[in-house]
Amino acid sequence: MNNLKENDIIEFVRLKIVERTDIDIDDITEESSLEEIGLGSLDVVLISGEIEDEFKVEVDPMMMFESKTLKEVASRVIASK
Amino acid sequence: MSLKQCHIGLSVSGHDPAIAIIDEKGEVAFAEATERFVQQKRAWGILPDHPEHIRSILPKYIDNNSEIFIAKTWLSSKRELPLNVSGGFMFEDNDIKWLLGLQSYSFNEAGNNIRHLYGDKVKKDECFDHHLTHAVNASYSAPFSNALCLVIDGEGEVGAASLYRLESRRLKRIWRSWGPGSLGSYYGLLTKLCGFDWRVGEEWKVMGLAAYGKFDISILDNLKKLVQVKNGKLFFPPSKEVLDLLVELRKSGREHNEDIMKASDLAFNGQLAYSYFLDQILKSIQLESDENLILTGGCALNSAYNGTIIKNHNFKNIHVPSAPADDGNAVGAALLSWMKYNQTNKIPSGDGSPYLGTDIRDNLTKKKRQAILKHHSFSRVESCIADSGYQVAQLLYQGKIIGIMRGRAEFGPRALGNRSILADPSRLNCKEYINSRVKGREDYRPFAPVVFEKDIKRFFDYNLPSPYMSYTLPWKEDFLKKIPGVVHHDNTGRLQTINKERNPWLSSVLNEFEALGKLPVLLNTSFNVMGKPIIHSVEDAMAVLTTTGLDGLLIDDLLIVK
Repeated sequence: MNNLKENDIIEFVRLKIVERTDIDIDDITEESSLEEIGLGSLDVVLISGEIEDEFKVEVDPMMMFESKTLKEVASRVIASK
Repeated sequence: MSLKQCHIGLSVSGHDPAIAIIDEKGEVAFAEATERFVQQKRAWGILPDHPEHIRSILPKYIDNNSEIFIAKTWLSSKRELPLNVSGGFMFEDNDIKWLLGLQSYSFNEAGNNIRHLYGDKVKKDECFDHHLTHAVNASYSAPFSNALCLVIDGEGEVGAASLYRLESRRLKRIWRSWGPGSLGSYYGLLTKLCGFDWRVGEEWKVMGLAAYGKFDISILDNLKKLVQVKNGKLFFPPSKEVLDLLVELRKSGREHNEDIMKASDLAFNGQLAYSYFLDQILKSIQLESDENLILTGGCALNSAYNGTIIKNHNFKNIHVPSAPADDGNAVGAALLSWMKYNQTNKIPSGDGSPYLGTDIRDNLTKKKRQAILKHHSFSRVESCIADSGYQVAQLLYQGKIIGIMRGRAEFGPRALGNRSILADPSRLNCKEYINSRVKGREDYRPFAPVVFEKDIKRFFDYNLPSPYMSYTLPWKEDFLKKIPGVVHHDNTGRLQTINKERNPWLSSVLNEFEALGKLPVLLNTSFNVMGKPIIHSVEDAMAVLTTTGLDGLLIDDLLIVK
């Protein structure tokens, strides 16, 4: 259940990153570094809000800034449920 | 009066600091903004547990057996987040750094003065979500147990809007807005473009000036592009777009030293755009036609907009608390602390009284009273215990302008009869006289009327009780010329409604005034001079009396007439 949810979250974040950058979706994996992807801080915040709405969790505003990879984001979202 | 369990809420935004005390029963025992004590508007950068302020309050509530629980109005220091996600494009980076610095200082340091005073009596120090403290404060004084509760302000933990549902007095968040989109920031920008200073809360001036402006589609269109509302949530456009819009909007604005009326069209259309944004939010959140609405957050001080909700939306009842801005959060945080201690998620129900601050009877000592009676150089100083309402009504009838300092101070920005200046609004030049000779403020600014709750329909187009002056309503045409002192340029008035149960003394003044053959309407403005907060001490009141054109002053039962 947790794995499935983790994949859902990773997939959701990948799509949101693609919407905001020129990066090809195939180049974004669960191990991709958020820092290297080069998202702007505003994009990071807005994606955090979208995660909160989509998965009905309370997201810590610093979560995306503190997480190194998409996988780590997913783990923190699951932990906050 | 000492409390075994004393929950102290501290508003730690860095501006509008305040302190509130909740007792064992979950009732507000005390609430006051720090600006009153220090006599600096908005008290920027001053801690809510100011050392001398707490020494004037806490000994009354705390003894050797007391346990203290401190509650703060933010979960974290906003400084940790990147600059452009807080306040966004509406402020200069320099402003944002300053605001974040003050919030961080207040968040980290508040409570130390209480700990210094009371040591290990302080059992806990907790932090609560900023918008939740807004919502709990507003729900506490709401006269109903079920409602939608909308928080709209400058910024919260992650954004500047949150929607909650209050059900059987329990709050549950439905959504919150993320990012810098903010109606508080929008109005701050509008204030700046109109040549006023948002730092000292001159948003009031924009609202007052709006009545003199005219509709301009190009200004309005540009303003509407500054904020996007999607499903109730707020977003700003990309910064390049904002910068282009600002170039255009500045053409309708004014510099601080230019003629105020130059910005009237911008103010008018700015208020229209603000209404457009909030209307979109309210339409998106109301699913059923018989919902109650609680509106809070700093934006709920926009009484001009609030007064339009009853006409444009289908809410059954509307409640705006007496202190919807960040000072009020001190109450919300203290209540959350009390709820946590008592292991309940049910918000206690308050009696709605805004008279929660310092009691002037604690300040008017026997020594001060004797000194005034003995050494004064006024024409009349007397104690009128039994009939002060009658005496004040008589003076108002004679055209006198009287300062009132009675009982406990109001919590929130409005003077509601306990720290007020009263006058007869039927006198032709009273507005100009009070603006120029008493308050020292611009002559376009309006004054508020006080009417009996039972008379709302007699005087106004909509029947909306307004115990905290939260709504501006259009006067009925019959009265426009009869009470010019409280009719604004657009024929509206930001009314305070009173009744005998809630406002016995002010009701007695209004009754006596009516008995003298006058319309039962009084002019009520805050007891201060421009640029200063509402008076706090006997000395503050005497200073206003002796340095302005005020004719008289009632301090508790001591009547002083020049």
